[in-house]
Amino acid sequence: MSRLRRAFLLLIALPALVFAAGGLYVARWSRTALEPELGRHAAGRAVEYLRLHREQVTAQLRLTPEQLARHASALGIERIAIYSASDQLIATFPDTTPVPLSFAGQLTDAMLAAARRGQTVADLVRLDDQPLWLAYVPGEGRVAVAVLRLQPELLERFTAATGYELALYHRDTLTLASRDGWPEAIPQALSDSLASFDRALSTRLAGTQMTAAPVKDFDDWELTGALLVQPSDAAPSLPSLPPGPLAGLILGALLSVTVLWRIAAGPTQGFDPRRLRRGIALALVPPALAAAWLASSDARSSAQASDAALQLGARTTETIATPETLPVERLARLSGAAVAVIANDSLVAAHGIELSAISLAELGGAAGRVQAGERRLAYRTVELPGGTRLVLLSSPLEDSRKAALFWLAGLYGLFAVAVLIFTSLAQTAGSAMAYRETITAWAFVSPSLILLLIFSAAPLLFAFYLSFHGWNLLEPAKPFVGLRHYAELAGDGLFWNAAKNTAVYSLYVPATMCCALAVAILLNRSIKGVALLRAVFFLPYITSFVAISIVWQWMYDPDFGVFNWALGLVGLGPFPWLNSPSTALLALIIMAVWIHIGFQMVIFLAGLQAIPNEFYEAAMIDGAGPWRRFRNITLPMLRPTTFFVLVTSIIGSFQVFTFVYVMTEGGPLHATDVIVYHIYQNAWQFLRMGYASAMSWILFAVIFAITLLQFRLLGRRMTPS
Amino acid sequence: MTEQKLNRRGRKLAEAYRALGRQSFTTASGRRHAGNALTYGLAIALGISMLVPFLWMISTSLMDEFEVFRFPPRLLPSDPVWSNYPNALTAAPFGRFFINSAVMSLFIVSGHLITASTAGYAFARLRFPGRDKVFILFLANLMVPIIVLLIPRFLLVSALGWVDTYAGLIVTELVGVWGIFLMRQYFLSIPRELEDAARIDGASEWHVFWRVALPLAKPAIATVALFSFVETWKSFLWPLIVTRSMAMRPVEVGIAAFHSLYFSNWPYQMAAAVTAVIPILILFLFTQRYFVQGIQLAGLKY
Amino acid sequence: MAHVSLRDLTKQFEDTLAVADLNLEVADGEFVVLVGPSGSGKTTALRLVAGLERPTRGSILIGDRDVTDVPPKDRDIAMVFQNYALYPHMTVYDNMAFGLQVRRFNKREIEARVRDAADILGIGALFHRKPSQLSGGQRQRTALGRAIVRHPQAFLFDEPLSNLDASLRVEMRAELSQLHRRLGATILYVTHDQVEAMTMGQRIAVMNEGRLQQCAEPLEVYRKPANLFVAGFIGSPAINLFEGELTSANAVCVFRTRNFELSVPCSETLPAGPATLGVRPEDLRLSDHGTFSAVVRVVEPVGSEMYIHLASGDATRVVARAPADTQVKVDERVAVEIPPSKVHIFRSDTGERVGP
Repeated sequence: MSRLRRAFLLLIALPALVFAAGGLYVARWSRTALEPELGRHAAGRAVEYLRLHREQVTAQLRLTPEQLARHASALGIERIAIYSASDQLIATFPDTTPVPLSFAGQLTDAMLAAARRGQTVADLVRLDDQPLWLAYVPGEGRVAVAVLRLQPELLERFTAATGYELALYHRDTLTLASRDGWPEAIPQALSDSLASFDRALSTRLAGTQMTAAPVKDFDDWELTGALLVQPSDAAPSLPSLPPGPLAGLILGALLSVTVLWRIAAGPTQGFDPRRLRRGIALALVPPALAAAWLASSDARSSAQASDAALQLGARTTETIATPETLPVERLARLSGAAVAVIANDSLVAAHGIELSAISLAELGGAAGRVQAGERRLAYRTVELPGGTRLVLLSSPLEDSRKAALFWLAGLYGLFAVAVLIFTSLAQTAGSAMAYRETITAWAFVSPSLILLLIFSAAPLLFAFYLSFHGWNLLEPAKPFVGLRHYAELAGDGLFWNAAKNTAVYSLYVPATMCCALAVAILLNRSIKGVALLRAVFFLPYITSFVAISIVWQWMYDPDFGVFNWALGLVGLGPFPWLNSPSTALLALIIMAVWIHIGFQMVIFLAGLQAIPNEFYEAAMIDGAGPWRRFRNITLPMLRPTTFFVLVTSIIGSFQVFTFVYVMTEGGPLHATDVIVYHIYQNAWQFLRMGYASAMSWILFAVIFAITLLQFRLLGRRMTPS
Repeated sequence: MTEQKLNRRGRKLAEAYRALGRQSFTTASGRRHAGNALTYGLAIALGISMLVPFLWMISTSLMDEFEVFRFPPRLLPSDPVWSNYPNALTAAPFGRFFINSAVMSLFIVSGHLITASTAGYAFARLRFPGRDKVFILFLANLMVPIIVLLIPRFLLVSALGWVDTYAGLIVTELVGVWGIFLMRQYFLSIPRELEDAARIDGASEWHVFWRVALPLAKPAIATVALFSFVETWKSFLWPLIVTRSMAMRPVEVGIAAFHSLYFSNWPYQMAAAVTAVIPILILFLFTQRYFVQGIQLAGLKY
Repeated sequence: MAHVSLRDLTKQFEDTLAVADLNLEVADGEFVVLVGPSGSGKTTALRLVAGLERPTRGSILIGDRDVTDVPPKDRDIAMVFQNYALYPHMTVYDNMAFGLQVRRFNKREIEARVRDAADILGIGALFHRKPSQLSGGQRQRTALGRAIVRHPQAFLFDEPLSNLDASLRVEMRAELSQLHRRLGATILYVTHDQVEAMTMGQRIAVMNEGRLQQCAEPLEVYRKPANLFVAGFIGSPAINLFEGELTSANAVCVFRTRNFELSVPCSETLPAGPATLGVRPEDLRLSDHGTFSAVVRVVEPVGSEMYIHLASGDATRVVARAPADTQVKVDERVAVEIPPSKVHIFRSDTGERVGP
């Protein structure tokens, strides 16, 4: 076996195994494997459904007792008691048995404390051996305690919307609340697994069609029970993966492996026409794989539509509304698809699509493809109570050619790495020793290289791509917008405000450098305990930035903080610190000085210790005083260090985030809104990822320019010597 | 201020005496001691002022809920409320936060150690075509601000279905270029002859790395491990983005969430903050030598 | 043990030719010393034999096996480095056992071999020390021990004594020679120290600027240096050289400088023309009827003898070695005699030895 063949086994066998594992994952999309996946989704939706319901009801409890009386049965309120702040019973409704304020054995201290602090809390509890919601709602000078029944209608609505039956358990009693007493008995699997129930994930119960999801208490921590779902007769039919694409994928993988094998086995010197042909064949592999993927996306599209339908079904039951008053717009936003409503066999409302563009006749099945004007759309219908049907319409995945392009680019990238490695190997194939070294080196480098390509190089380019596209997580359309984002940035006052704030914030760097240099000179001597002192200065830098932010926020408190108190002792202040746009950024800068002083000090210390003592001794003999020595020896000799600290710290200061997020959230009045926080807000709060990417690329360009300047000025070469 | 002046004066005097010559040697050294004492005093005073926020944090964490809202503020709690700690720590799933941080750190530190030592060794010691180009590619990575990568990484991780999982928290962070650079520098400082000797002794390339180079690089490994641990423990933005549920949050994100939940209860918040600071503090006390060494070895990042 | 042959061995670094067409045979059990100034390529040659560098051209044979493209670990050779290269993190025992451990010898065999080597070298008591706790000599012995336990085909030494102090160096020199006899080992030994080369080597290979200048027994090299370089490099104090003109007429050969004339023994190979005459300091005699006269500049008594630095008429510097009791004074004018039978004559252009 030739060396290259051996290398091939080493470098390709592993990725091929990964590929095979990927193929197995794809195979999971076959009909039987997809079903539990959907069950898990349904369980997740059910949890969300109940949480929404709970919130909705507790919101109602803020109403007056009279209003409550009117709505009680519709909301599923069974009993209610209202207490004054001094725990005096004011009113009960409708039952004469009041709900005790501290419900024996049901209340956790945390829950009571939360209620007292003014939070609305509702938990699943046991009352008369029935699982019920118990809600505490504080109002002005009173606390309402209510027992909420899970009405059969609620469960029915969920079943109608999602095709899944729903049951609720309380973990202590293992009693059920469900429609028609389904299931007859508590599954043994559930009682077994409740003890070790996964807090985060829903679990498929072994040997059944049921999926259980955890129900947690008000602060999402304690496990109080479980929700159980199982597909009803009306469960949506599942798409199955066509065998074609799967075979295509496997064939594509085989083809690429074969081509690489041929290349590996080929001659290493000179031009060979066979290599050209192999090269062409190699270049054809990614398109083949991408085509296979595209074909398979048809099935995935349907699966995704089913999931969206589940989500929508759960959402629509939040409100009791007539077909005409369904919040179509909101539903469309939530599901990321166009929505149409069918009632009494006619289209009554739509959002995201023209009503006239679709014909009712084509929307016959539960799911499928429909021609709407010039577009082909995937649809999925959701049955609502009262014969109303909701239809979701979205671009089918098989039409998302852009995603296919990324697949192609990614594959070509990985192939490029493979070719790079093989070229490198081929160059040393003449000598067994050199070859051995090369192959060891690639085995050592390639894991890091591949991870870097996937998680750094590719994202960097993708961010560039994003900056030219409208990219909202929720909207399926990701239109190309050209330079519009950059143009928008130019006129975006908030962006320039953030840039200005960042620049002002970075002023902490020179301030810190002065302090750090002074401290470094002070501590640059071998006195007892100096190591400990250095550690003390360094301490803020390594501790939790969030904890530090919290403490400083407390110290900056305008009324009770130590700063204003201490300044008051010398007749200054009080200052509003973080509460005023004029002082908030200054407050952050002061804190930044405190944090970074130790880090810069350590670098300055290294610089100081590198200055030979002879210089100082010579200067002293020449009669130079301490200031002259500092001015004429220390400062010039420290220039490279100073420059290094300046540049790296400024680059660091451009990326400040944690302090702003924890202490000010960019406020007040955007006074502390810095670039990275601004990017974060745009990307994850306003969901404008394309726009945020454009900003991040500008930041990248600035930092890159500064770094290049640093290398140029320092004449420092980072290339291996 | 006066201390500083005095100190400067003292040093000046000491130096003047030193310049005068040997006859005044004893006096000079006496003066220098005085100068040292002043330096000492100044350094200690500054050091204590650096500690004020930490002390204030501890003090507040032991006050009762109403004692903090008093003006002028009390510097020490009148009656330490130790129960703030158990109460605060059970008000949010802190145990889980710590477990999450620990799991995250364990995997990321291991990842950093593996990639840094292997790639660093290859770049320092192994000759292969394309080495310098690949190394420059690695270095270029140091210039990229994380925020640029965040959005695409998030999209990638969510496409993989890893949002709110350990995989999502960990996978993007497995390679630390800074560590690779540091390890490379360190390997370059080890005499090559040791590896040559091992090769002649019959060791394979793997043996040379594993049995000779790696044991000799222990100080660098300790530094990389320490730094990536602290970096991971302190990391905030990525965990904030990639976790959704309380149950997946690491400590930093957890106490930030706790901060917004209990924003008016300062003793609780301070108790949480103290708890978050303690693990790193203990680690730092025992290993601060390596921190300083690491920053000075390759003060590139941070 | 096996013989080692280097054939047309060439190593080109980016812009320098470190080793050029080196041909060298080390017979089975022979002790050959590669000697030359720093930068002469001797260490590179050794590293090529070890397999630590890959030759640009040429081949290396150990035994009858071509090992040119065999990695060091499979060449079955042992090497002692200038800085000993002891693994700092292992004990003396582990340092010595490492080579056997990675070759998966069984424990008992390893222990036996390490004990044997330690007995030979007298370091058995140091087994549990780390290299940092050893003296220079002990480190040297450990490095030797590490090589010995392997029972290799050949030993390579890279200036192993240069880090020792003078007295220890003399001691180790003798010990190494003894060890060589005892083990009957094939040894290729690199040094820049001509005393080591002369005293230890069965043959000496002198290198300069990547090329082999001469390879012969020590005394042969000393007595019949193949060229100017070898003549100048071997011998301390260095050989005295005089630039001049060689004429031969009627079987009478005369070497003529501006300062003096000397008839030298004629041979057929002796070409007329510019030549350099060399004479070793110990062959110069201060006598009444000298070849030329010179002024004493410096006198260096070294105890057993003395070195007399002289300046001849045209300011050529000459060193003579004389008995310790010679009576000369600085600035005294003396007559210097060159015995014609002891001269070496080289061509001035190529430096090649032409006679006698």
